[in-house]
Amino acid sequence: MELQRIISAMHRAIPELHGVMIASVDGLAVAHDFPDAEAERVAAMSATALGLGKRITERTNLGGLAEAVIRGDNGYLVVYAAGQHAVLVLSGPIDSNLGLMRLEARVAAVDIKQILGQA
Amino acid sequence: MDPMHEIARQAIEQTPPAIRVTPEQASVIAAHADELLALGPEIVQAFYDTLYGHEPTEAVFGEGERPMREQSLLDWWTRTVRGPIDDNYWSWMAMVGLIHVIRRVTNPMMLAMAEFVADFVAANQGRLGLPPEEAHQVAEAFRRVAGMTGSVITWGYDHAVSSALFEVAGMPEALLARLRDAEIKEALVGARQEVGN
Repeated sequence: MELQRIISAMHRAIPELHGVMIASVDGLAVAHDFPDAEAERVAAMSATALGLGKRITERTNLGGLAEAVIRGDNGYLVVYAAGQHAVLVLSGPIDSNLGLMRLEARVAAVDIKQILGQA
Repeated sequence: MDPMHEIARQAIEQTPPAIRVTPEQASVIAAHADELLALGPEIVQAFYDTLYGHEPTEAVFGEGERPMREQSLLDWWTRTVRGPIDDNYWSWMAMVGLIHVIRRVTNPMMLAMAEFVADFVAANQGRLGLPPEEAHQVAEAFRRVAGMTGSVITWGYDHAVSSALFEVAGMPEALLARLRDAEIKEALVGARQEVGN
């Protein structure tokens, strides 16, 4: 599956990542390598973060949303838009390289948009 | 947010046709508008005596607001009995759902008072000066209007809440439903234990 290929490529580029997910903007996990027990909730919460992030950037004149970064004591969850209908979610440790995640996510988002657009 | 006409249509389409307000029932009400209008002041008085007689419903109102609210109810009563009970009427009821959100009028309060109106008409049908069968038809027609009013207002209320969340937080309705269902599935486990069912 092409989306799984994107997830694998993301792990090759950033080996420290804990998990990668592609979800729909309404919170359905489409492809991921998170534990199955967590996937449903991660998808829904990530879609929520994306929606809220978009609203905040709109309402505060920040322009389009680039990423929504959630940082906890133990790591990061970073959410990117992948076209109008998908969410790309990266989970990484506290010493994650956010710049590298951003670069890789930008490339992956274009691929995801193309793949889902063809579906 | 969807237009009020659309919200009203969605609500009505969800209800089985057999319990909607039929054109015949709307006609029965309109045909006896004069008799029903005479009940207006009395029903308004009883309606607000009931609301002001119960602390949670009384708390909805601000000081000195009662005359304005009574006029609103009288306007609704007049429109309902004069008709037409049409798409515009139901879109108005959908808008009432939005007003109720803002005013903190809960659906249990509203549904109870819709029932109050239906009960009032049923209890006073003998005073309409109509043959018993005709008076009964009027009372039954009002019960349908009250039921459908409850359906449309609750749908307007729910729609307003989910639309506001979408506008504020950018959460599409399908996402809200997914989050809601996941939480309720968990809550249901505890609820089943509590209720023993």
